[in-house]
Amino acid sequence: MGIINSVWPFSKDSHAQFERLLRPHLKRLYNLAYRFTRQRDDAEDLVQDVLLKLYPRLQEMQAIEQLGPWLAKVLYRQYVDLYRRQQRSPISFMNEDDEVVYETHASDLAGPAELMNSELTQGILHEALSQLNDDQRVLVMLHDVEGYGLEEISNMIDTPVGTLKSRLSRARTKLREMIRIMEPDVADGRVSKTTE
Amino acid sequence: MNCTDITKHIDDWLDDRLLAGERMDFAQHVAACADCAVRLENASAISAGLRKLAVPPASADFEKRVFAAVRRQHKETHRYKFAAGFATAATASLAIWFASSVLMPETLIETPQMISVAMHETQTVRLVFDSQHDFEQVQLSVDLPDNMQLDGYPGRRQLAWQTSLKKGENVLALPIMAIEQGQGELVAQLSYGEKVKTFRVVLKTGVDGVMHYQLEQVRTA
Repeated sequence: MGIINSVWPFSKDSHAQFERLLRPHLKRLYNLAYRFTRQRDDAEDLVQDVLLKLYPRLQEMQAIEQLGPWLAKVLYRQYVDLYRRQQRSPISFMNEDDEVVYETHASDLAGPAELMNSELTQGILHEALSQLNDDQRVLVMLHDVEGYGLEEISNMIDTPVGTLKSRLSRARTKLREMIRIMEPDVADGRVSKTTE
Repeated sequence: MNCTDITKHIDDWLDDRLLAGERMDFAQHVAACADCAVRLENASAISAGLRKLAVPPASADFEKRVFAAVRRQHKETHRYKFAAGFATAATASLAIWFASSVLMPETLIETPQMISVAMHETQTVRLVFDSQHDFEQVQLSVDLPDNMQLDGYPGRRQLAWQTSLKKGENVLALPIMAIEQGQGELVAQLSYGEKVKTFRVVLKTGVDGVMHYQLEQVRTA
């Protein structure tokens, strides 16, 4: 009998190969997981779940040219499967499809000079983000925070780009309104620079 | 553009999706309209804030811990040798030989040997596929009977992965354990392009905890 080719995906150095392949992506995966879960422990658990799930797919991953977006997609799906369903807030600020137009009046707005000197605190942004529904929040996190393009996100979460554009627009409108409510100083021009 | 247009296109401006002419119109209006200038400043400030949103660093041992977890869960991969053929097989090893032209219509099968094994002991079941050619990107999947499990994969009835076949013998060594009395099919499927080959093996445990197996059928799709 000659040399036999193993078609079992695991060889003695599979772990080393797996770690070499995944290590460069680990920080990005954790960051993304944190954006989704908003808790460090949950983010770490989510990444670990993903890695455990991915190990048997080592050979498949080795053949993927752009592994980062592919991993992000796997992470997102795992998040949806394991976390989002469990942790969906029973209270939603507003349904995504609610057609509400926020009217902004000049009297509500600070002048450009004040805003040029202002900086929104991270706490306020996090609070405002938490008021978005989960689809909107995830989209804002992926697009506005992590910098993924709409095409990439479309592939990642299996949603058409047109739908994402509308969702992003509604999310941003809502975010601006929430920040205006939570940060009235921004609205009437009494902004002081934060220390963050 | 008027104020309504500015409100409508403010995201397009931020995302740089406006055409050159639209961008010029937008900028001209904002330069002349204090309210819209403030709207844009607010929106820009929020966008800038979002880009700076910090993530707390992961635990110091995070990387080490997750890879250790992977190693723990998949530790069985170090306990099996694959390259040396049957000479290194465990004494209680099943060898199911598909001496076939893999992914070709005709299939020949050698009569398998009968072996005995006690329950709750890992058994290496070896499927050997004889291929006449090299094949890349072959999809291989394995489905287990309900009363069996792969060591290291508790609760999983199916594994699928992509692999390549070399000309000659290709071995798939599966660490299988019978967890309950009974019988069922082990199904191994090879897919390459539109060609699919399915190999079915009946595994059963006897009343005395002995596991037997027999080839039931080989189907080519």
